[in-house]
Amino acid sequence: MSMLSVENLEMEYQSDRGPVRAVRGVSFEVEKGNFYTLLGPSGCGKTSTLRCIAGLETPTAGKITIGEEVVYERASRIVVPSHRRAVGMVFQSYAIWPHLTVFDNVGFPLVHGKNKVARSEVRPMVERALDLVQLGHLAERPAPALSGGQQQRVALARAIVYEPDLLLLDEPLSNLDAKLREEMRQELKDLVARLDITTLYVTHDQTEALAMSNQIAVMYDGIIVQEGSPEDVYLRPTSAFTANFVGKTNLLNGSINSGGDGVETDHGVINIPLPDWANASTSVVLAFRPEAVEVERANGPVSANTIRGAVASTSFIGETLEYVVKASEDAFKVKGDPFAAFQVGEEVDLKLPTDRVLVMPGDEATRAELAAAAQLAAAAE
Amino acid sequence: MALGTPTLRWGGRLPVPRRFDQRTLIAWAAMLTVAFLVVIPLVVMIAATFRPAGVFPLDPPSDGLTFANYTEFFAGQTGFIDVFRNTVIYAGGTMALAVPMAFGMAFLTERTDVPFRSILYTLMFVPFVTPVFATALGWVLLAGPRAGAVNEYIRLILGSDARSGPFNVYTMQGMIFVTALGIVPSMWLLLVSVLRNMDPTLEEAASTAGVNRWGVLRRVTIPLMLPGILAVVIYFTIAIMESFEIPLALGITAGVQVLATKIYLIITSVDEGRFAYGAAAVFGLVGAIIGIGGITLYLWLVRRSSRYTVITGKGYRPRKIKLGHWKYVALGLVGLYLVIKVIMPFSMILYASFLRYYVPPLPENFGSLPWTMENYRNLWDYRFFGQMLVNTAIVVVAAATITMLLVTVVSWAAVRLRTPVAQTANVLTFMPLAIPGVIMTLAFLLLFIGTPLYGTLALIVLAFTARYLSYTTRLMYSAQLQIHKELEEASLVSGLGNVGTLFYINLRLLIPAFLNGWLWIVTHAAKDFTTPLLLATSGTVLVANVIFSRFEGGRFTESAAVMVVLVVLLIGVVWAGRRWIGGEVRS
Repeated sequence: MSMLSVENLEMEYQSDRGPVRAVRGVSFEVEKGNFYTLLGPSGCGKTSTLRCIAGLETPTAGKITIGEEVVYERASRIVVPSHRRAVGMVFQSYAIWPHLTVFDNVGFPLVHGKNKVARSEVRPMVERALDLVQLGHLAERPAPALSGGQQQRVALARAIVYEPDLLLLDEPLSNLDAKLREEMRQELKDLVARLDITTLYVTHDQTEALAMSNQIAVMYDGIIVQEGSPEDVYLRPTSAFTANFVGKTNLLNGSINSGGDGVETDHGVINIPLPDWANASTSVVLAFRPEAVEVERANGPVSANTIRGAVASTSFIGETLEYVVKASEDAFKVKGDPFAAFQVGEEVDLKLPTDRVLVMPGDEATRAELAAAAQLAAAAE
Repeated sequence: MALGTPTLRWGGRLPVPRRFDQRTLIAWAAMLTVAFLVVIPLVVMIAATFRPAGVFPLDPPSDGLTFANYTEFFAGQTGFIDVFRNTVIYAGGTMALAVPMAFGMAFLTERTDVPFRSILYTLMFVPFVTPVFATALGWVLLAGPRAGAVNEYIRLILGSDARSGPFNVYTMQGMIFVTALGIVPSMWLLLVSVLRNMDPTLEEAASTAGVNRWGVLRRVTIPLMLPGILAVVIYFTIAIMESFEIPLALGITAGVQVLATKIYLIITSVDEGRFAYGAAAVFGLVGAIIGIGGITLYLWLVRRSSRYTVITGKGYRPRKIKLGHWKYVALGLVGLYLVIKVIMPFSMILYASFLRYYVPPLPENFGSLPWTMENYRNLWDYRFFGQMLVNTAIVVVAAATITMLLVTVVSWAAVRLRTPVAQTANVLTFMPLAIPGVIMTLAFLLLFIGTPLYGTLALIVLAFTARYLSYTTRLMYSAQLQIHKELEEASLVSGLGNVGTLFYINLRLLIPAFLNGWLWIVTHAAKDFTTPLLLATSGTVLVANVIFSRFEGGRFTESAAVMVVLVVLLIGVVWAGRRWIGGEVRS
């Protein structure tokens, strides 16, 4: 059963330079109990989509259904205001009310909101929610006296205390320092799994998205460019943007050979299965992850689907060794066994398993998308 | 799910057409209320300029339409040339005296090592609770031509036989002197912030470039501050145009009429049995045009001077000039101001309030001073006293509360919604800043005269609300900007509606600013004479009316006693309010 369904959502807002189409036709469904992530650079429309679902922005077209209830539909002019939607939300700034204690912050929705409960019910429910985020002992603390991580937990407790159908998380970890972020990532994942609550998560951080989600939608320029499991998105990107925004990718220019069964490159022919649109002599770009490549000491003549080059630099980062390998004009990033390091200047062979290479058209549009993705990924770091 | 009961579901659909969503309604309500308060009265005032004497502005057009008010005005029959010449001299003279005093004191307290700074800062706020009219009465008792204490002592010391002089407070010079004393504290406050906003590294750069201290002051400090200072000067020139109490207390005896008193005199005098509201409205219209021009210039200058403002955020403390032994002279000068502004006039008022009739405090009278408690006792016996205090309390508390609630909604809409309607409401609140209070009040009088609201406390409350919208909106607007949008959104998502969120989150977080603005209105409205004198009727007498009627009747000692009561009450309110706000801020 789908807990959230978004159909052809569009949203426009007015800026100083005229209207901006922030969301341009987004559709997706989140199954009950799933952890669904919208991943993309800032300005891709992911937060606008989330805010439309929360009812904090009004879309310009489309339909949003939460559970059984249509909360927005352009055609029938349905706009359910934010406070009547069965959602809980954690904000990027946490939005902990500074004039209230931890207890009162969490109890606020139960005391004042639409989900009012009997007075006697408030305390046990708040305590349970605080225990879930391990803050039971801080209930009477005034909110401003909390650390960033604690505020984050309060925000989470406040969002789940009234058991919403849907939990919305707007970059909740982005204001925490690196170590705490990793800790909270795991905790958050365990918590929503334990509560079996349907979660929509928005982030620009691919590590968070990959580690936490059942499903990821990669967004760029107001649309979803790829939707799938974390493995799909990372290992089998279907778009230039996904390939270059999520994770690092090596790019290699070439053109389809006359036989129509391989790609002619500066480093010889790469024989891989080709997509339907690829005709002889079409220009293409090949993309492959650093992890996809097997690195071996150069030995004898260059075999098929192999690029020979020399190690230009190495960086040891503990669990792995990163190399930059130069082959004629191109430089490739690859990873190797830290226990069996190659030296700078050493000749190596890069073997490309054919099922780990993405073939993309070599046109201007693709190149522009690749460049944009690389730039946005660098900015998001 | 692991927690709670599963009964918390909100089902069903709610079709809400976008056009009528709650936030839009709130913005419209705020905009229309502000428009009703500031636009409609002015429109009616303009309409009034076309009505002949003896006709109410809102009477049917068949009762007469005329250009006579304009032709008489420009023909000089209503004495506008004198009034405007007087107003210009009055404003110009006051600025010429007040600006150097205020700037000098701001410079001493901000940029030099003058001793006891924190005490000076506290003392500079004392004049804020003292009614302007009290300073005027104090100086009547000090520098009245015959019995003024200062004059008596000078004549005594010089052995002069003259019956009056050498000083006479009932002159243009006297008005300028007392007004300048009165505006120095507010002007000082603004100039202190102009001085503070300047980046001291700009001066240090000039010093290291080899310019001496005087050169730095002349070539860097003053030019950089000039737009800021000019803005302050224009702001206060408009403020003096609306200054009413001193021209009323001193100018009428002196035969010097300025714009504010002229309007008052036209309204209160009945010419051949017919009121001449049209003639007053023409004066009001001209004053409003001058005010709007001035405030436009002011806003332009403020924008310009903010370009000069360099906010370094590094918490630079400007270097304090070491005064050496001169610092005691500087302290003496600041002290002298406080003596002249506060201590001298108030000791006279306190002294007079305990006399049966006024006698100058001369050695020859010391044995036979007519001491009495009667002025105070009479207050309790006076059957209107209780009513007057209650009326005043009702009016100032209602005006402060209504105004603050309104401006909270207006600034919320302007900051959060940013729709054209919300922005219009915000812009409209600037209007009363440009329009002198006496003209705002006149406009209210013209709108409501002949309606059941005339002669009620509600009308006075409305007039105060309109007059005090500008300052309090600025205050709440900047406070609202400090509140993170997500604090409100979190409440909406938690299931509260817009109204609930405004009440439980917004208003609650804004309480310190709300109380500050509330207190500001209470103290200003309680000290104000303009609105009570123009709008109060026999059934709605306020403290100001009683003080003025005693003063006008020459019963200075009774007037003084009411004033002492008012000042004591105001000090109490401010003290309690400050403590309350302090407590709120700490929590």
